[in-house]
Amino acid sequence: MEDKDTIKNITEQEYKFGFVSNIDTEYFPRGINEEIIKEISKKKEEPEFMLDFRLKAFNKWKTMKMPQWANLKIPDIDYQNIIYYAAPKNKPTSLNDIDPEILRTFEKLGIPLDEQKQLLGVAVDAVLDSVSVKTTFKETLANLGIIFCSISEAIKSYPDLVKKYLGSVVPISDNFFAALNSAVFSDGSFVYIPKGVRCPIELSTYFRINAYNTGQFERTLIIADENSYVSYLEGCTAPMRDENQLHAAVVELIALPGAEIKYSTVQNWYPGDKNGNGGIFNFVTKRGICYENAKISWTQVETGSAITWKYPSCILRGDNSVGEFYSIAVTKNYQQADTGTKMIHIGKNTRSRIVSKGISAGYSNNTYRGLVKIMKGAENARNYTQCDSLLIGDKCGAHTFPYIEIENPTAIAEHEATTSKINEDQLFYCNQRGIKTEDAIALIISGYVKEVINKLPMEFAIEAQKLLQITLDSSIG
Amino acid sequence: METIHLIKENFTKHITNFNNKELINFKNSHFNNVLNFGLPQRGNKKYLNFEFIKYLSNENINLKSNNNYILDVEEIFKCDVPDLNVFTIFTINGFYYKNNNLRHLQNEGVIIKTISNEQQLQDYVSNSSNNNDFLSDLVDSFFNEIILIHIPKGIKLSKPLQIINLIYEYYSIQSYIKFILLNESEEENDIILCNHSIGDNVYIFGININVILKANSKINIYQMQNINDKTFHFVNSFVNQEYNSKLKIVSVTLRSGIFRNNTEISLNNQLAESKIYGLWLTDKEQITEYHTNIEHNSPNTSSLQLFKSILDNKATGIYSGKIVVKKNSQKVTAYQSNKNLLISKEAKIKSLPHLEIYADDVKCSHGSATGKLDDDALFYLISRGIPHKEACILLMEAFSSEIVNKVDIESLKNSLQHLVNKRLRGELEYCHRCNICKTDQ
Amino acid sequence: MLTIKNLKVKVEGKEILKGINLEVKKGETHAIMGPNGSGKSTLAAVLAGRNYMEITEGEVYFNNENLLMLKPEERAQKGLFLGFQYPIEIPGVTMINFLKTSLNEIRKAQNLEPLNAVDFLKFIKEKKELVPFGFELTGRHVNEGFSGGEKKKNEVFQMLVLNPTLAILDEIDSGLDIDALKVVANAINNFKNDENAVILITHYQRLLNYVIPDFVHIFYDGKIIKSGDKTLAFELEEKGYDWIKESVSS
Repeated sequence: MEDKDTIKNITEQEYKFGFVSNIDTEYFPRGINEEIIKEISKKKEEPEFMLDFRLKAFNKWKTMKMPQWANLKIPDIDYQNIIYYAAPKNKPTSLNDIDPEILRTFEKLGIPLDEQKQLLGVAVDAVLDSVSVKTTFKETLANLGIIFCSISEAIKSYPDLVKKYLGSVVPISDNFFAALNSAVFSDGSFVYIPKGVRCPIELSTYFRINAYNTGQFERTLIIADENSYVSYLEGCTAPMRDENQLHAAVVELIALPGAEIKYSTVQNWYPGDKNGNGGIFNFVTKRGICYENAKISWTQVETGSAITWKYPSCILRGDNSVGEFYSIAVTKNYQQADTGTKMIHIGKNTRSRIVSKGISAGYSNNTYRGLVKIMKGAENARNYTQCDSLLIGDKCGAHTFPYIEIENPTAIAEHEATTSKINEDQLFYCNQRGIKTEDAIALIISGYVKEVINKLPMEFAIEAQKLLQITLDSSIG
Repeated sequence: METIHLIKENFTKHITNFNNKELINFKNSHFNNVLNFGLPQRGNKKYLNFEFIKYLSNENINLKSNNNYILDVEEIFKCDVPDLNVFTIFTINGFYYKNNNLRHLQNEGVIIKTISNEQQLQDYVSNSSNNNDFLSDLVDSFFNEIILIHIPKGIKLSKPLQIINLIYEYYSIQSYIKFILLNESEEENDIILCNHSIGDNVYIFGININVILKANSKINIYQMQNINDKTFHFVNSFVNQEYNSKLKIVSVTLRSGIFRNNTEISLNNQLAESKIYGLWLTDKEQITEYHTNIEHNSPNTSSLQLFKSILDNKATGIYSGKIVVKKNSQKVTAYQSNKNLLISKEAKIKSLPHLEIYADDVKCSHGSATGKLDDDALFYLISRGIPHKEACILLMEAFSSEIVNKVDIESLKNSLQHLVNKRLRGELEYCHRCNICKTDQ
Repeated sequence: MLTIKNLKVKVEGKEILKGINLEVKKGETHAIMGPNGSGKSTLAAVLAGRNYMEITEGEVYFNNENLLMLKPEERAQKGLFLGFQYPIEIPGVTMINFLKTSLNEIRKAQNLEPLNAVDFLKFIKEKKELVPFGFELTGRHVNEGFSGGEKKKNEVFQMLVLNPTLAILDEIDSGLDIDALKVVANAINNFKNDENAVILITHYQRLLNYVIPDFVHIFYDGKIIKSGDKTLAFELEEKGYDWIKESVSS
């Protein structure tokens, strides 16, 4: 069969962002203990409450076990063999001070840190290994009262906001990885949008792991005050290394009454080679809380990482609040992804919508796992979930694990899912119009994921489409 | 006393009733599983509700190890289906109750017997091993009898075979029974399983059914539960299907305190096909759970599941269904649907329709929908002069009928329709036709 | 242009085509008529390269090249077009993107430069003016949400855009009202010239009032049992398929 041949001809396209930059880096010793945590806190000149927060989390973490319920085969991780803090040695105060190698690194990734060269309308916080190296457009935003800076800076400059909200959506004891992150997180982004302000540009963080044997533990906190709006983008890459590197991030979103937060991710951590060696272990806790009339929308395009474990969630606490989750997850070679969302309906008239598109190829396994919970008081709550899985080749797996719990008789929850391979009639139709099978598959898949791609901001959508194209090219060949 | 110790104590007593070595070995090995794996804990993917454990830790629910009743069961127990023309056999408290129908059935070519000698155990029991699971191991440790129903090749029963499983005692008891259904007949035969309780005591009532469908065989299994609200009742069905075998199961639960139905099907060869349907109408504080696990172990197999529930008062409904398509099981079609109506503020549903797929050339889909009665439909009926309550019942009946209509035996279907209607009106008390219950009320 | 010699085809073990012979030359229009299940659509599918059937005997040459050795997309690139009886919907893929990919692939195979976005849109606009479609293409996905008539119009529109040398139109007239039928017929007449050829597969003579065939072939039970000029279609319409069946059995 021709299709079989096409799929057999899988060529392994090189990971585009796999280069290593030669940056003078400061490392902490391997391993985790109270001393290391104190060192991190000291290094970052944190106030007392942060050290307490970290130590509490660490003590909690010591009592916890890695979660086993996901549909993943996770090799043992030696947490004492990881470096928890790595940072470029030269601490820049202005663009001119930044190590030119760092500037080149981000330029190579298509993220120029020079505001002159920036894409119009996108402000970037660039995080390299454990620290934020540069936040652009800070001053422009400050005029509107918007705070966009690294979380380290926020801890020092806005301790009240941080103290109030950090750990309020994802408590330190939430899960194993969240506890670990709370203990050792080194940097990340902080956003505050004041009441009634619509953030005029996209805010974005670009995460890059460069150093060896290092874990990346970033922390993002976004607070959208009443009736404000912000769109936030997150991108990530890492060099190709044959070791597995750990990435355990926590993202907390707070949408106060009437606010709207749009959070988009294009995740392209190094997925490992074609034999499943190396790659990033991506264990991420992302959660947002919506107060009355607020809205949080998660959009994710997940193409990278050896293992992905993430469930961006919405707690719909306020009446009339809305949660959305749009996801594309592509796995190939030996990648494993267990991803989905949780929608917790607490308030009246709360709405949630979940659209998940999984594509599995090679020897990979791709799992959707989602919880829709409608609590007793959530009168007239509505949920609609659609998750489709596409299989390319007969060695991969596609799994759908929804959990639906409903405790209110006025609620309506609908879940639909399909799993299949690419429709042969569609393929033949394209072939008949002269389109090669590989191109036809790419075309059909681009249509299949369109609903999600359309939810991304324009620049990001184009990037995501390209990324998908590359990822799929190499899995279809 | 700790639950597991209580169970252990019961087992030590129970096993002294047996002297067949094979049977004792069989029971011991399953009881070892009970001990080794222990009580189901949170996180065990097969269990979503642990209310039943309080039954197992109740020291006042005695194990029933002999049957001293001589009842004219046919007289006292006329099943809810009056015009149903069937061959009926009975079990009481986990013991097979011999009656005249056995001879009729023998004349029809069906073999029904309790398994005792070693050879038979080898032949049937070892071929029908279950997956490790606490409640099925419990039945395999504590059953009083294994009843073999063997439908040989070419046999077409002139009437459906009805099996009535009764639990009946003047005090609280626990009772377990195991069936092995070996079907070789390519004729379409019907089996009706009715599980009932008589009396108002607290019971634990566990049944394991191992079904072996040989190549080209066909069977329809209809199951009904009508059991008092105080009982923990559970049925585990393990089905192995061979080449081109066809299975249909329709299960209707009208009443049963805590009820757990677990159906695991292995489609082991090409063209094997399963259709399973379930309906449960749960009210008060009752809990009804339906679990399914369908494994497509071979290419060109198909399965269909449709489960519907109506939950009232403080009832809890659980549907946890899994379809697994194994590697190389190409050209599989599998469909799974769960629809629930919540009609009270305090009712709850958990729905977990899961797909686990390792082959690419498949058509698998599932859907889950939970909601209330359709407002537009309701309004339409009311605007035609139908009172609100009546309109609701009409719509609920319509909702149920999708399952009830899967019953091919006309008289059984009509009767079920009638019972569902009564049940929706709150008029049905369990075993309302049975004389004993009538005198109890 | 197209030569079919003793073509025999099985579908799921059952012989559907039982030895077809047909010769189509440049500038000709052939109509293939016949009752349901006589194998007409199977012939169309086999020529386009559908792979569910088994070719047990026979040869097919398309412009002196062994057609049966080519992949479906290669056949299309070499100028063979199949208008589907039931065009499939492809959600999320826009008509514009689809047509552009298709046209440029075919151009590439013919060593022509791909059209850039501006030229492409201009070209599409020209072709669209040629036939009144009555529906917008931009923003719509391939066949998604199209009515039966729109789908058929979309097929002939694509034929005009891709400009094949041989167009096989499988029941292009079914499900069309009289206005839509005229639009489709006009498009076909617009397309026809001395360098290309058309095979119309149809149940009814209706379409042939507008598109005049040079030859009419009658299919029955996997074979062409009668060939003639356009008058054969009238005769068939008048006497019905029973007449054919009788004339076969007698």
